[in-house]
Amino acid sequence: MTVVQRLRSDDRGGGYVLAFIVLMSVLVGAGVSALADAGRVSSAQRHSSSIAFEAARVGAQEVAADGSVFSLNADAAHSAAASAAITLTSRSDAQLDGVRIDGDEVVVTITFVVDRWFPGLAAVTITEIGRARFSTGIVEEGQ
Amino acid sequence: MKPQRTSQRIGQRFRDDRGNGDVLAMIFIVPLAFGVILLYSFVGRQAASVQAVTHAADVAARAAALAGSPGAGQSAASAAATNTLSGAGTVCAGGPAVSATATAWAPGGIVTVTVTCTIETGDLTAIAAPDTTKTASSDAIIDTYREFGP
Repeated sequence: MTVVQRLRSDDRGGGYVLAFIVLMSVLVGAGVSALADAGRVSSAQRHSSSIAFEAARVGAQEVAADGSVFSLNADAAHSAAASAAITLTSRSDAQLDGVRIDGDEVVVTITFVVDRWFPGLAAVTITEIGRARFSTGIVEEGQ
Repeated sequence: MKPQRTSQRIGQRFRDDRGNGDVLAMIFIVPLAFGVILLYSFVGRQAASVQAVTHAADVAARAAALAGSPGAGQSAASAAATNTLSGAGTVCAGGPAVSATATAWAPGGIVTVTVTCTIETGDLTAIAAPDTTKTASSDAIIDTYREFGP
């Protein structure tokens, strides 16, 4: 029997090699999925946050003027923020969750469902809140 | 027990295959482990760059929306995207490609900025990692109350 024939017929350690291959495959697959998921979730968070703040900013620019007194037009602010949020979310996978007027502040909530690549993990729903406050007379940052 | 002769001991050592499996395993496992680490590094870099490019597009869109004209918007978007990517430590081969367009460069207009970045993987040649291109778009709305013009 030649060396090659002997090696071919020798199945000692075959189970060990198979277990190693399976274990490595699972570890590599899981690691890659976890890293990819982390990036996608983080990216979705940033994007949702950006949309929420943009929409809130649009809403907070709805001014009601009573003589020289300016205030936030709550109804107009609500619809402007909602309209902006719908426009912006239509260009991505984000969704408008709600718009709320809190005094002179417009609060927009955006959600984003991210499917996970990691096997067995359910999709994660990201919720980001953007706030913009109505203000007049700003002449420099910080006022 | 009779003492073995030198020739017997040498012959026995050559016939003895104990430990060979460990050596073979090390020969395969060590490069494989390095390969896996480099693969994780590659995927991690991709994940970080997706996030960085998305953020750069968001920042660039807001910067462009504060500009008053297409030219100024394009310049502002390019500068903002480049600075944001640089700050995040993301290196784009040949620099990021940035385009800024708007439905109207007027209050209420929607500015769309698209950032494209080719991620360099020259240091991961051991696993033949390919250069990958990441693209992200973001929108910003031009403020109602703002000043246009020089």
